[in-house]
Amino acid sequence: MGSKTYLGELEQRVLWAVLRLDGEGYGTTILEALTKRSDRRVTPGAMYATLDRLEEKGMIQSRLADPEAGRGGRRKRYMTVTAEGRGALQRTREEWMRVWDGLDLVPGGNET
Amino acid sequence: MIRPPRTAEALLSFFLPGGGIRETVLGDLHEMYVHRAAGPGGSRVRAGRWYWAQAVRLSATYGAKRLSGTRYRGFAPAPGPAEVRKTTTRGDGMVGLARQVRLSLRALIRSPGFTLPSLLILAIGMTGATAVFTVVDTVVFRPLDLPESHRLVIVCEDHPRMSGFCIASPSNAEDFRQGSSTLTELGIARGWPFTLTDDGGTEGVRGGLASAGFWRTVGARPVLGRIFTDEEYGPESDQVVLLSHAFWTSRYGGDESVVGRIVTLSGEAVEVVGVLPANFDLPWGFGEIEVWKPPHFTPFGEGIRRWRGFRAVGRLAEGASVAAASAELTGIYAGIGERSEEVNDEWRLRVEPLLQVVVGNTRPVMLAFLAAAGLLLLIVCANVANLLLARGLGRRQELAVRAAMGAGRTRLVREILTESMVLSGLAAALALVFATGAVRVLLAVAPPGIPRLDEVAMDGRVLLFTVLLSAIATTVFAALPALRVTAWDLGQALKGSARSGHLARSTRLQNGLVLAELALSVVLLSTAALLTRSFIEYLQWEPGFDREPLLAVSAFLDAGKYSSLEEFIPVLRQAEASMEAIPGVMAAATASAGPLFGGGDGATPFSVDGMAPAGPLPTARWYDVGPRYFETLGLPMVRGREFTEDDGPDAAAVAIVNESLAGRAWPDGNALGRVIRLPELERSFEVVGVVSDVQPIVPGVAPYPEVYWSNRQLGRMATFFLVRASGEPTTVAQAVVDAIEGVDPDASVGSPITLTRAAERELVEPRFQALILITFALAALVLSAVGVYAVVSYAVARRTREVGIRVALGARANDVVRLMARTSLTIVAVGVAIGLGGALLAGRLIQGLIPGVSPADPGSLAAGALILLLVAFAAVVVPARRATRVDPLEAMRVE
Repeated sequence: MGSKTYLGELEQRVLWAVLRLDGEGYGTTILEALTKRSDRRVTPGAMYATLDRLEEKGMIQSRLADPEAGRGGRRKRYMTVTAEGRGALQRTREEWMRVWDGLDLVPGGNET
Repeated sequence: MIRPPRTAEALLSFFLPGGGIRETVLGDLHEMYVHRAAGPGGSRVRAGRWYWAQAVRLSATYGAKRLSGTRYRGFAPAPGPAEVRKTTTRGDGMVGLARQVRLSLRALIRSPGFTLPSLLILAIGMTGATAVFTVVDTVVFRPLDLPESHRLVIVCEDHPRMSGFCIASPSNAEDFRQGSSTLTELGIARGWPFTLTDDGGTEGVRGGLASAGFWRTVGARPVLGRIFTDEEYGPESDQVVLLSHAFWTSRYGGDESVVGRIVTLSGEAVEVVGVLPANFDLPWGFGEIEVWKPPHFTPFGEGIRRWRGFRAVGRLAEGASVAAASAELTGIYAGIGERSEEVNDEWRLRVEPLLQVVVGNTRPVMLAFLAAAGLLLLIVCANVANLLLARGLGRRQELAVRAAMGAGRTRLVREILTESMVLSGLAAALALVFATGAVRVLLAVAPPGIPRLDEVAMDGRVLLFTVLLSAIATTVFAALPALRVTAWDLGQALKGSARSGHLARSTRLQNGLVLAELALSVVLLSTAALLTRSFIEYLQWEPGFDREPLLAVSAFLDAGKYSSLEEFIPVLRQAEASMEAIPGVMAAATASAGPLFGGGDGATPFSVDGMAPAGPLPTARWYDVGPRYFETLGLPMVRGREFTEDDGPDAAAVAIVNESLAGRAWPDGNALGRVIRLPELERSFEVVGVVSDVQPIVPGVAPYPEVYWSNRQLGRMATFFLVRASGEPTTVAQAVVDAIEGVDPDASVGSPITLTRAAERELVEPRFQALILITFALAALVLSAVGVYAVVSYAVARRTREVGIRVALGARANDVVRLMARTSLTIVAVGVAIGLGGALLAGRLIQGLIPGVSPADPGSLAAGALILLLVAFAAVVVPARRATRVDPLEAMRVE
C-alpha cells in the first residue's frame, strides 16, 4: 500500500480497537471494545464490512483458532494490525492534528 | 442449550461467503447472542429479535457484495494458530457459488426423471403467467401510446338522468379552454361521416370533426403538413382536412404532394393540410377515422351550447391533478350556468383520466385472467415442491452419509436451494420461449375491440416479470422441502428408518400441498366451466326474431342536399321501394339502429303520468324507425300497430314501446293511447303500439326498455336499411347497395352485413374468455392430476412392506386397496370441498367482472369437482392395486 492511504472514521476506530486488543481481538471482543469506548453504536454488519476492507488493504491480518463449543463449534478469527496498518493510523492521526492545529473552538461561539 | 434462531442462522449462512468468513461471523454472532440471551439482564426474546435484525442486515450486505462480484479471500481449511495468511486478491466465495451451480446442473442432469417433469411443470405455469401478463400489461397497465398520456383527461358533462354518459358541448368546452389554468389545452372531437370526391371518384369515408385544440391536446405531430389552427373553426374557415395515415396510404398511395390538394368533401371544396402519423392511438374508434375536418360551426353559435355530442379531451398542466382540474372546471361550469339556461343546476361536470376511460370494461376481465394465471402458478409451485420433497426423501441416505462425513447442515441447505434456483432459472428461460409463442396464439384468437391489443409485444418488463416469477417460485418451492429434509436427525436417516416422526411430518406437508393444489384446481375448473356454460348460452341466443334472412346496410345521405325532412322522406321511401323490387327481397325498412346493427343510439330518461315523481327517472333506449320495420325484422307486435307512411311530419307524434317499457310504465297493461315523455330530448309521444322484447345476447340480462318513434316524423340523414331476403341474404347485398345509390348517387353506403355474421361477431369475445380460462383449467387439471398421482403412489410405495405383511397374513387385495385408498381419498375429498367453497367465491367475483356469467352454477361446480375426484381416484387405485401384487417376501425385504 502506498503512503497516501488515509483512513475513514470507522476504519480508524476499528483499527484502534484491534490494536488495543493486541492479537486477542476477534468479532465479539472488537465490537465490545468499539461500543464501550463511544456513544456511537456500531452494528456487526458495519464492523465486518470494515474489517474485510482493512484486511483487503493489508492493514490487518487474521488467523483462525480452534473450534469452541460456546460458539456453536465454530472457530474464532483473531485479528492483528500489520505494520502498514499502524503506519496508516499514525499518518491519519498526524493529518488530523494538522487540520485541527490553530483552530480554537470557543464554546457557544462561531467557528471562525 | 441456548442457540440463535435456526432460520435466521440458515438465512445468514446462505448469504455469507465461504471460507473462514462464514464460520467466524456465525461464531461471533452465536457468542453475542448467547451473551444477550443468558447474560446479566438478558432476554431470549430480545436476543432473538436482535439476532434476526443482524442476520437480515448482514445477509443484505454480503448478498449485495456477492451480486456485485466482490470476491472474498478464504481461510485455510485447517490452519494452525500460528498460521497467518497474507492478503490475496482472489478468493473462493464466488468460485464456490459457480461451482455449486455447476454441481447442481450435474445433479439435475443425472436425474432426468425428476428434472424433466419439474422443468416442464414450472415452464408451463410461468408461460401461462407470462403470456397473460404480457397482454394485461399492455392493455391495462401501460399508459396510452400518446405523448405523456397520463396527463390526458376527459371532461364530461353529466346529468342525473343520464348518468354514465360522457359528453360535452363545443361552447362549454371552449369556455373551459379559455378559462382553465389547470389544463394547458383542451379540444373537442366526434365522428362525422363524409363523402369524398376527387380524381379517384366519390367514396363514403369515415370522417370526424375535431378542433385544433384537440390535436394539440393529444400531441399529434403530422408526418406531412400541419394540424389545424385555432382560426380554422366555424363556417367559411373550416375548408381544411387532415388525413389519417392509413387513408393517405390506401387512397393516395403515400403521395407527398397530397398536401395542398383540393378535394370535395360532402359537396364542399376543402384543402388537404396534413397527414396524421401512423398508428396514432386514439380512443372511441377515432383511430379509424380517415378524414378529419374542423367543426363547421362557431363555438358559440346558436344552439351549440346544448349540442352535447362531442368528446372533450384536455391536457393537465404540469403538476396539476385531476381533482384540481375537476374543481376548477366545476367552478367555470357554474359560471356558465349563471349566464345560460342551457346549463342548469342539474348538469354536473366530471373530469376523469383518459386512460381509465379507455381501458374501462376490459380491465376487470383482464384482471380475472391475471388471477387465473396466478392460481395456475400456485398449483405449479405446490407440484414442484412435492417433487422436490419426494426427491429429498429419496436422497436422505445420501445426505446422511455426507453429513456424517462432515458436510455441514448449512452446506446441504445451500446445495438444495441452489439446485432449486438453477431449476427455476432454466424453467424461466424455457417459459420465455414458450410465452412468445403463447402470446402470438393469444393475439390470433383474441376478439377485435379489445383496446390496444395490437400493441401487445414482449418487452423488457415482461422479461423482468418472468425473472421475478422464477425467484418467487424458487423461494416458495425450495424453502419448504429444504427445511424439511434437513430437519431430520440425519443419523436416524442413516439407519434407514422410514418410521421416524420426521417422516410423518414430511408426509403431512406433502398432504397439505396436495390439498392446496386440489382446492385451487377446483376453483379454476369450475370457473372455466361457468364461462363455458355462459358461452354455450350465448350460442343458444334466441333473440325473438329470425336473424337468418336479414341483411343490414348503413347509408348516410348528404346533409347539404336536403333542406328539410319533407325532401328527405321520399328518398327513403324510394330506396325501400326499389329494394323490394329486387328479386329475392321480401321486405325492406329503415331504422337508426337495431339488434346486432348500428350499436344503438343511446338511452334517455322517460316519464309517464302516474309515475312516482321523486327519484331519478328510468331510462329507455331510443330508435327512429320507418314503417314496416318490425314486420321486416320479424318481431311480432303485441298490441296496437306499426308505423305507417301516414305518421308523417304533420300527424300527431306517435311512438311504439317494447313490452319491458310498457310493463314498467303501465303495470295495468294498457299502454295504447297513453303518453310517454322524454324530457331530455324535449319530446312526447302517444303510444300506438307495443312490440315484443328483443332478448339481449348477453345471457341473464333482462331486456332493456325501448322506445321507437317514426323517422317520417323525426328523421335523420343517416339510417340503416334492413332487408329480409327469401334466401341467402348475401346474394342480394350488392343489389341493395345499388338500390340506395340509384336513388341518391351521393349517399355514403356502408358495407352490408348479415345479422348472422353480426351475431357471430358478438360471440368472439365470450369465446376468447372461455378459451383462456379453459386452457388454464386444463393445465391445472393435468398438473394436479400429476401431483396427486405422484404423491399418492409415493405414499403407497412407502407402505409396500406393510402391504407385504398384510398380504402374507391373508388380507385380500380389495381390502388392502380400500385401506390405501381411505387416507388418500380423505385428503382428496377435503381438498375438493375447500375448492368448492373457493369456487363459489370466485364465481361471485367473476359475475361482477364478466357480464352474462351466473355466479354459482351447481352443474359447473359439480363437473369441476367430479373430474378431480375421478382423477384422484385413479391415482389412488392404480398404485394401490400394484402394491397388492407385490410378492410378500420381496416386500418384507424392502428397507
